[in-house]
Amino acid sequence: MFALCLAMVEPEERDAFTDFFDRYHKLVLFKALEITQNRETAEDVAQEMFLYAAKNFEKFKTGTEREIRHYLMICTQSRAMDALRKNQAAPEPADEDAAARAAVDDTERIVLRRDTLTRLLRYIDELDERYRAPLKLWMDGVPYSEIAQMLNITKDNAYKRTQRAYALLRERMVREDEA
Amino acid sequence: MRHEAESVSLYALIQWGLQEHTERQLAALPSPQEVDAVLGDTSDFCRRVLEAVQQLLRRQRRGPRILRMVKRTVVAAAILAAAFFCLAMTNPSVRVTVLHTVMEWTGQDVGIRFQVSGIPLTELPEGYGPHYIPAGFVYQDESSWKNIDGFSYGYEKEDGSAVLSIEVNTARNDAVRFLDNEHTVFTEITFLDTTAYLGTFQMNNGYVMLWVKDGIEHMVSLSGETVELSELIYIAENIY
Repeated sequence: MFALCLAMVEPEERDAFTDFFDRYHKLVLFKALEITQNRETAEDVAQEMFLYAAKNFEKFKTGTEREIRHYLMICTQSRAMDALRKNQAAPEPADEDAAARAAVDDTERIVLRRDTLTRLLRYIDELDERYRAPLKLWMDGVPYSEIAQMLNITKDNAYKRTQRAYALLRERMVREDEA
Repeated sequence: MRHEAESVSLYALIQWGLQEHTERQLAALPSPQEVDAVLGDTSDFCRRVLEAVQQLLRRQRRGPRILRMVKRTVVAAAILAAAFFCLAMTNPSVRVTVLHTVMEWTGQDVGIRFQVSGIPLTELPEGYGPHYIPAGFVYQDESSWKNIDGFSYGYEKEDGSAVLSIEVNTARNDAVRFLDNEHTVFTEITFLDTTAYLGTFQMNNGYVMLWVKDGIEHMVSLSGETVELSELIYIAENIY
């Protein structure tokens, strides 16, 4: 007969995910709680995060420990800030379009000074997480479609925020460099 | 002595900076003991999430809602198919006779097991497959598979507005499947000189058709806001 069998989730798949969950759920919940400052909201965020991880478990299964922790942190932060914004009824900042003008120019050079790296790290630190997260993922080679899924935003916004983030960092680095 | 200022790629510099920032963030994560102290008991949370994940994975196995409704239709069709199964076989070498139909009710699902005898085809004829797919449908590699004795091909419009599924198998002995059983109205029709069962979805626009011909079972389902029955028939006519 037609192969439409609706079997249970295969035990090995379930076990692998349970191991993954056991290993990381506290970290994710902690991060969500750190941002939302509300246990209930944090648990909702963490649940959403693990549902995303379950749907895309192949990505997580094959990652290194560093990659998994990094991606879990970024994905959780994005969802937690989203939940926070919704709970506070704050509208989504509408500055995405204005910023997407600057394409990344990977041939541009800058003079390396004694404090260049310190300044750069400070600017990265000061960058809004909404912009920093997609830029980090993009620099890791993650395509825009996946960035959008990971951060729970549209592909268009993933592109615009990445471009915006790069433009902001570039502007500050070049401006101070010229000064 | 004059010292030249060293210049570096801004892109590479930013890339380095982001990686360094990530390393520092990861290094600053709290220890398990600190996390435990803040979170306390998480057993309720764990149970809730794992249940939700299990439900999600089960739903993923079942496919999207439209596909689930297609599957529901198969329940009714399978019951009807059992009745005409052996009659549809004209070639004695591939004749399969249904001896028993066993139904197992488990909540919203029903399991159907056909116990058959006879000599089934061991593989599909060379090149057997769909020869017409409407324009705009894109083959979905992830949801498709193929063996020598059957295949399941999924197609979807790029904007997700319509879904097409084609499943073909040689008749197999003692197969079982679990399906939902709601939201579809069935009609018996004549198709390619054999009896076929046409299901019309009640909650979304769409159709599913099942028929058996020459020892091969077929199921085609087409759903989406603008799909038409004539299109499904044309797809079905061009499976050979």
